[in-house]
Amino acid sequence: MEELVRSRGTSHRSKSSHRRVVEADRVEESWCQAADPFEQAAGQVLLQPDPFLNELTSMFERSTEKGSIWVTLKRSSMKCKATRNKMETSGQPIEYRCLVRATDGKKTISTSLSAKEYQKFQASYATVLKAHMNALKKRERKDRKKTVEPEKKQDSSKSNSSKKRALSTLKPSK
Amino acid sequence: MVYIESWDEFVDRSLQLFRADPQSSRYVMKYRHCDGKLVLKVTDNREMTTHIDRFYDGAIDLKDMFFITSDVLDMKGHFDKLLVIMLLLSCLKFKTDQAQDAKKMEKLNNIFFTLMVRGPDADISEASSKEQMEQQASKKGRGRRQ
Repeated sequence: MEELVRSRGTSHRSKSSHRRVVEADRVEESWCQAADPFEQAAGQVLLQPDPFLNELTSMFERSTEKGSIWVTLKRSSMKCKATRNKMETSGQPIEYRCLVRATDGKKTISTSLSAKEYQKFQASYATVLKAHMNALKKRERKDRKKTVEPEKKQDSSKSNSSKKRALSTLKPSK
Repeated sequence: MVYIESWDEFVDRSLQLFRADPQSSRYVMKYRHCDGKLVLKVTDNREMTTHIDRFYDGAIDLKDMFFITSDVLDMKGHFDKLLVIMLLLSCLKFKTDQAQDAKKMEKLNNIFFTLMVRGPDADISEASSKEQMEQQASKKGRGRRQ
């Protein structure tokens, strides 16, 4: 559990990120084992969608000077493997939700969305991102005027010859 | 792990990767305000050895895979071909410092929300924020009658 929290800050190392991945999935499996449904084994907190968004907003506000925010989306039934297998064999339909996790490297929060909730959530989520992800570079107007048309031509030629060029856009990372 | 430079290619391959294994795949966004950097990642959480085993077992048919191009199929070096496929199958990344990519990401977020809740075969052609908000508004209207 401590490994999960500690390794969050070293995402650039592939070994620790793999360990984090394994830990994260084990955490997901622990949903059905935690005594308190809102307190999860690895120190994660499962919240309702709106409190989650409020806390995510606070995370963004706290991380402007340094640090990172990770948001992960995953399909999940929110049930452990044993329960899922039982339901499958007995023919019960399994309801899937979208699990959303957010972390700043120290604290992790999560929420899960049903088919009825997710559309409202995705709109609010987009608003939060738009409001806080403003450190990205904006194109200067001069560049836009010059490059709009040639870019459009480039894009259409890209899709035509995409079959040939698919490999050229791959860039192996270290 | 591969950084894909074209946004459209990243989206297409990510959706392909997710649909191939919706139970294990996840979509991650990392944002650093201090550096002005955004990184997106889609992975099926499998180690490459799993894909290599599946390839040798014949479980992966290259010709049926969307976007596995003739360039790859014609590759003479068996190991090179394998390496490209494995890279594409386990982990895809996209990095940017451009604000316009955040706007594109919003659409991809909506697509993934829809696919993850409704299932990998869900219709995503209308997964845009405006339409969803209009749907939500009309749903609210229906709710009040109750």
